[in-house]
Amino acid sequence: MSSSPPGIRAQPNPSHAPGAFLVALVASLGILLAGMQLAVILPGSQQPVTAVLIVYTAVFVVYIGAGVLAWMRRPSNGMGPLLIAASLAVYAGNLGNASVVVLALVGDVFATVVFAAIVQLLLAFPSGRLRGTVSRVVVSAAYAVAVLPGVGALIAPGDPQAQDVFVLTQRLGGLAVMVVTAGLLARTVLAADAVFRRLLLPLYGYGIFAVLAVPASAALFDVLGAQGSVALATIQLIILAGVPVAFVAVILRGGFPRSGGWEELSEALAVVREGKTPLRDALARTLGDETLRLVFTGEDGAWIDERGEIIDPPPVGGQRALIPVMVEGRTVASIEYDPRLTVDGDYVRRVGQVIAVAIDRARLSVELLRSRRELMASRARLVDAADRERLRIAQDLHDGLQMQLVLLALEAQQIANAAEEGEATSARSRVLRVNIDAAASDLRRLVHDVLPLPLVGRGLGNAIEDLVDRMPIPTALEMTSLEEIPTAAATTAYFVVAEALTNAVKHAHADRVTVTVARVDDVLRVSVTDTGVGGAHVEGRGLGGLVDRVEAVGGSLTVTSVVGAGTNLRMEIPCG
Amino acid sequence: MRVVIAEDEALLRQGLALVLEQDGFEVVSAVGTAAELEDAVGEHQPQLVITDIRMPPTFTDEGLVAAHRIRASSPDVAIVVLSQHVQRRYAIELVGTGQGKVGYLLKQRIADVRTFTQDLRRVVRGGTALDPDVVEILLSRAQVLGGGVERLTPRQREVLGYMAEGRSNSWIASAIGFSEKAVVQHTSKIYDALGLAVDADDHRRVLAVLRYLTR
Repeated sequence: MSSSPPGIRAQPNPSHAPGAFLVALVASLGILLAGMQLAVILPGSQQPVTAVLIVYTAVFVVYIGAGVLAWMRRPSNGMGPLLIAASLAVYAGNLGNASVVVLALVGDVFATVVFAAIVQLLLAFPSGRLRGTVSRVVVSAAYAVAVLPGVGALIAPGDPQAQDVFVLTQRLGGLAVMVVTAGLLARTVLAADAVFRRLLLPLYGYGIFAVLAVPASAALFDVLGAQGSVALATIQLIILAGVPVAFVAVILRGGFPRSGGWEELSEALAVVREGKTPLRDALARTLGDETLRLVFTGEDGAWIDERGEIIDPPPVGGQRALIPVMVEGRTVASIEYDPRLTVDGDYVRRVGQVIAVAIDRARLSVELLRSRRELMASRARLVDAADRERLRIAQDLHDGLQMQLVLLALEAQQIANAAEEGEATSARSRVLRVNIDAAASDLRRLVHDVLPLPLVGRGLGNAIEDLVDRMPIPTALEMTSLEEIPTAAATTAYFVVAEALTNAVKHAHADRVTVTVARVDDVLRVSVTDTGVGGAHVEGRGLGGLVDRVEAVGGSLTVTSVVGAGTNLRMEIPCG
Repeated sequence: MRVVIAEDEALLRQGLALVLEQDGFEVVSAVGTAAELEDAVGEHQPQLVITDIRMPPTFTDEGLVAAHRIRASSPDVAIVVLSQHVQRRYAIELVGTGQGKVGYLLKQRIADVRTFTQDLRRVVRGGTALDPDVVEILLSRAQVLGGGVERLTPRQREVLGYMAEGRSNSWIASAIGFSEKAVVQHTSKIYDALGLAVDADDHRRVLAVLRYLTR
């Protein structure tokens, strides 16, 4: 977008992100070098040696190709450049086959350097950097051992005895390097979690195999007396070519996702959706770390995740590291990442600072989300408290007053029945009993209106059926099994149906009503349709309070009511 | 006549026991839970059980569940279920399937002691006692849904209600001040209007009316 405001689209950082030009340059340089090499080594050779030489050069192309691919995928990672460096070792080694003396000498020096390069690749994976003194010492030793016979030949030319010593030293030193390398790799694998292990094992396995199999196969063919055979050389070259192939395989398996450029990161600034900030995804892509997490810092210092939930402080150390994102001196969030995938904490910090303002905006959204959730919870608690109060009142009336009225009426009737009382007293007591019964009847209705007892168990279905049974107009009822509905949902559904039925009779003057109540998975759906005058509004006729109630338990209430075309009320509430 | 009472409110339990004793019933056990009720029925083999619907522990329909279990295990025991609130479903479940000897009444009916004990004795003799409130629900509902009841005269509707309550012709006659013969004429007109078969047995009459009202 040409209209991007300045500053939003950050300039690519040349030290991390290779431009297309640079990639093309390296690639064409590789092709040029390959061509030159073939021109130098092929003349004078004969089949099948010619084919082997071409394969050798092809191995160089494979290395440099893999290196360029890795460099593009993860600009901030050192693996790509390392592979390209390894390709040069392959290239130099192949020069040993040249008929030009100087080139052949160079080739002899570099003949086995590719093994040292592979050791370095393995120990530096996945970040591209060596960690720990042991790793550095081992890699230095590997290179030293690799060039030893070649350098020795330069120092003491034409001394077969000295050469034998150099070769023996190389074999023993090489073995020692490999043993220590295998130990270091095994330690890394053991310390890794399952995800990381899946990333490491194929490459480690194949790398060790390659470094051991190539010399071992040479020794084997020595014993068999088939030294210098074309078959052996081809097998060895294919095994070596497999190393960068294994690396590319890991990249394509997704363990090594392409790190996005700054552009992608900037585009992500545009949207912050509820519950999911594309910022995190963009950061994860940029750093090539799918385990990356964005943790916000609340106004009160609490750790908040992307959905607005308060979480425990993120663990730091070993496989997790934390880099704060600052805006105007305040920490607004932290980037939690895997330090094995991104070794350079400063790089993470720089990436974070570029989008710090956007992260701060996301933090505000997330905090809003959190306060909204708290508000919802508090509404639900209010409804719950009101329900419990209703239940208490209903129970008190039921167990207290209603029972007392039975006993009072009983007493009045006993007096009326007593033989010793006069006619007048008997009659008055009887009237008293009838009046108490009438009061009890009123109270019964009142209790039922406050809260029908009970709505749990098979209560909701029963209670709605009871409402429908008492309707003065034809009312059809369809219900699925409504057992195990939570009390809050059941109470809400009951009041909604009760109100809708009352409205259908009192206001809509309907001559027919249809009620459906169904539980579909974890949603309770209620629909009440009447054939009345229509024109009802959610805000009016007692529905307003119910909307609040329904929303407080996380549901929705909609009323469709066209004048002259009846009213349809639909409610959905979660009841999981 | 041996009676077992199940009612969780102690005052009402005592009041009920007192009233029954005064009227010549023998209250052999008065308990507060459905489980105790079933035990008491097993122990005392009463002729009549009076139980509240809503009792501990869940305060939903324990009494009703116990009533059905007692009906299944001891079919000769008459059962009257009391409730603060009557509804159609429970009425049908209690009365609609059984062979009589069953009642479903509002608790408040206890107060009119004579009518109440008459109802109890009728149930023990094999009859039915359905609360006027629930009968009214049935009648209004049948009337709303159409199918014959709406064509009855007010008097016929009243008589149909008494029939549904399980009343005998002689009781209906004294209640509305007619001769028993006039009541019989009324009932046969009602049968004709609704297309019911005439039945002399009070409970079978209730069943027929209930089936008609709830079809």
